[in-house]
Amino acid sequence: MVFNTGAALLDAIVLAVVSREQQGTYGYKITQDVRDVIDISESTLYPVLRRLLKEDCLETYDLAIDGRNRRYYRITESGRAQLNLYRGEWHGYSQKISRILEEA
Amino acid sequence: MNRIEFMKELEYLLQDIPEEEKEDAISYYRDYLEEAGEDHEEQAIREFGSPERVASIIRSELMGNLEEGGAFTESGYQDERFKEPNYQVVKHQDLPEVQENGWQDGKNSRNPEENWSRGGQNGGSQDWHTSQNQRDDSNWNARKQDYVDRTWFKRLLKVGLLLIILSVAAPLALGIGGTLLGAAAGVILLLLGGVLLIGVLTVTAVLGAIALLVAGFGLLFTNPWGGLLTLGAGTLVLGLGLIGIALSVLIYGRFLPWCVREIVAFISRLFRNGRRKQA
Repeated sequence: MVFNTGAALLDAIVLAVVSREQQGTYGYKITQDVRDVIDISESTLYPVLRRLLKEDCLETYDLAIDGRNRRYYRITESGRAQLNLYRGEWHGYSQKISRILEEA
Repeated sequence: MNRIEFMKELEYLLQDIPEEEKEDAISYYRDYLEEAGEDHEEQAIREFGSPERVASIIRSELMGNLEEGGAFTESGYQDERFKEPNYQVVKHQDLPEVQENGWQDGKNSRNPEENWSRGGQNGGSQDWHTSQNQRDDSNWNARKQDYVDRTWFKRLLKVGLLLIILSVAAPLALGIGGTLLGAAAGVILLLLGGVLLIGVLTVTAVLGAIALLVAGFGLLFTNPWGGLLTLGAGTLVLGLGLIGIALSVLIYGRFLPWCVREIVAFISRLFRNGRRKQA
């Protein structure tokens, strides 16, 4: 990708990826899912997930899988609200950019 | 470096951050590497860079300045500060003993490991933390033990000093403290009195103004000059009342809620600190 964008877009992508799973999803899978869309390093997401937790956009619960705990992340109500906000912003933004680029 | 070595090293590097944060971070990265499985593990560790780099990222987010650093570039999302090998080393928190000059910025160094090591975790001036490659296990454990011993000793020393200071200063402090407490209570009572007084004065002024205006209007027909005088006085009092209302709005609407918020925040901070110390 040639375009630079701020960290808000990464937040939006992570929220979208997590919101697709009703039962929640876990760190490794979130990273791989985000990596399907944009190129991030394997170590990038821990701080992002931690921040989204602190902001109550995500919640966690632990589930025993194969004899050990796996931490699941699930989107909260305010996370959904935040995601909707990002979605609206992105819609307006991307439309305007598309328009100006395709008109030219 | 395999998964176990990586986690051991990361745990060692994070031993000075709050316990809860450390456990969250450690279990996240441990889970991550376990999920990655044997096939992917090596690649994941390679992409993590080094335990030092991951520790830096965790620290940086703890200090609340990661959000501004990242950006999407030609190759996806990146944070310039954590690009190998020139990532910025984040200082250890809660270690006031660390000397500033022991730390290096890391910007000009080719080798982040060497750079990190030179930072030193026990005071900076001593170069006991040499290159990672030369480090064998017993050496590592000995150093860790050494570090733990030192922190314990420092802590004991601090408690001892505090006890001595307290026992010497207590009688003096009690006297001064009592006086201060009395003075503080006086000031608070005075403030409360003032706040109440303003409210009462405002209500009185507005009511008085209305009475004067009504009376003046009535007087106008029998005694025009007297009526005008009374109306004027009424208007003046009304003006004072309006100033009083403005003040009251400021005090009751802004100042008092602010005071209550601050006091509640202060008390809850006290409680939270207390709990953290117990944990």
